[in-house]
Amino acid sequence: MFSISCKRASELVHKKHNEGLTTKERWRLKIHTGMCSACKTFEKQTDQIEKIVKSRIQKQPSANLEDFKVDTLSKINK
Amino acid sequence: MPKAQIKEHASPESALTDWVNNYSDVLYASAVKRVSDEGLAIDLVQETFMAAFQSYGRFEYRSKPKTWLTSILKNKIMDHFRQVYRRKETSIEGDFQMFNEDGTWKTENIPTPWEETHLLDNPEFIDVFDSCVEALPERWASSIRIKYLDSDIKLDDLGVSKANYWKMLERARTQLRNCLEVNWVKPNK
Repeated sequence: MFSISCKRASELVHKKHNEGLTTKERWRLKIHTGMCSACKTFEKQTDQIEKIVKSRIQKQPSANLEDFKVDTLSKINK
Repeated sequence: MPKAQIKEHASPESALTDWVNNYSDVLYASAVKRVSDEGLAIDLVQETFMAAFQSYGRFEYRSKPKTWLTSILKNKIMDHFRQVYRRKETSIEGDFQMFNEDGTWKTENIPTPWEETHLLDNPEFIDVFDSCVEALPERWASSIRIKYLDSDIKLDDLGVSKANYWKMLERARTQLRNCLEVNWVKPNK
């Protein structure tokens, strides 16, 4: 009843970061990772990746748009 | 004194000159926030101005130029994401099997802990990470961008089902993790 495979556990780890887990799923994952160090590591690394992705993607690159303006206007005024 | 009015221009060229000078920054900021790619953001903003130039005759100054330009840009961004998702997946990269038939990890895929914990503080790691994101197929990378950047782009508008979208996120994460294992974790061991 409670036991899930590593494959299923990894699916739950992804689900956690997609639509989220139900209470039951959360417990199943917790019980599994409590016994399985490979999946515990996998969960930790996936959480970490998710966190890094978020912080990297939300950084705002700045750009100097002066060249862009000159280029765009030259296309318009040609 | 007359109220401040939206200035009407003598010619499309003079209008666009004014707009390019005044609105490039705000449009670029808006584009880069959504696509998270400087080069692409620049292209989309330029396409926006070109489209505005071509259909200038239809702009009647009932709305503010900035509002009009913003709506053109938004359409360009949507078109971009639609195109990305319509493209057929050409490879099954990242779709490789991590698990055995019985649902256990394949020996070579068993996760082993990464030693370093404060990865975000390490500039070398960040370089590797960014190049791994760049190496993702565009539709997977977009799915991540949409998740974190874009509350106003709806999956429905893109014709992508939730299930497919989640699958793409899963693949993106899997591929990223593998890329980090190969390019960061193993060389540093």
